[in-house]
Amino acid sequence: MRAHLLIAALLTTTGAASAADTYTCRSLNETDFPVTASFDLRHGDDGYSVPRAEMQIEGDMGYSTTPDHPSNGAFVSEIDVDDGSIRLVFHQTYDGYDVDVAELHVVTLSEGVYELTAGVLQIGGGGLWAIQCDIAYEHPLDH
Amino acid sequence: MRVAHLFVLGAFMASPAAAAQWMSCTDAIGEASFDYFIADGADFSVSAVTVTARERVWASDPANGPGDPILVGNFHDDVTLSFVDATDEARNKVAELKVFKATEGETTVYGGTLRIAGVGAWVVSCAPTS
Repeated sequence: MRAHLLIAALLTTTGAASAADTYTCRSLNETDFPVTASFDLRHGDDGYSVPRAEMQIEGDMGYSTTPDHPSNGAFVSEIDVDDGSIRLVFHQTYDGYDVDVAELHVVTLSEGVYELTAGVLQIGGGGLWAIQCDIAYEHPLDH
Repeated sequence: MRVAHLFVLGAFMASPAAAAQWMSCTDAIGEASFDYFIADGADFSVSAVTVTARERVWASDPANGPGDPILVGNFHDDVTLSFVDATDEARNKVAELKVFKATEGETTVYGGTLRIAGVGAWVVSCAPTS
């Protein structure tokens, strides 16, 4: 019984170590073309990675890193995480050429019990937006 | 004569990179705001700030409106980031604005956060007002 609990705990801990924080973002102001964006940010021993990201202009174009997503084919080419700010650069390959398609830049501010994340999103040929994000944290069990 | 022409040319080349203007940063429902005046000059320089939160007002210059006195604190501006602090006379931080910006053509969008010490924090976007 104790062995089972130990194994279960180890499996859970291993899973938590690779867990990611999910950022869900939306355009901040009223606009004719609202935008949504989301991404998973994982912090591992080898630094930060973004295993999933997608963005969508409502009723228009979008980009996704998920293979079975309708707007798939994008990938995150740059990740900068520094002092509460995150910068992601998205690329996509067209006819063998790497194209810079989008850039997201957000900062997180903590004030008392509140936490706010906001910044800007630029989609090449799509537009510019001020955005705000919610974060769903997945903490490792040993924290 | 040529030297005089060079001086004139030099004067034009040293003309301000940033025109003087107010930037106004507000949250979506107008509960809080942080306005700052970018002084005329080649380097980014903030010469006045006015901060509001609900019924409270702080201003670095009474000419810009009534309010508790504040001073312009640290400020910075580059291609992607602007931040401006406001402090009290003892240089304690009263408010801090941190916004990222994205530019495409002649359009620039600003989005970020505003924190007013002991009062609250807001998501804000900014736009020039004059």
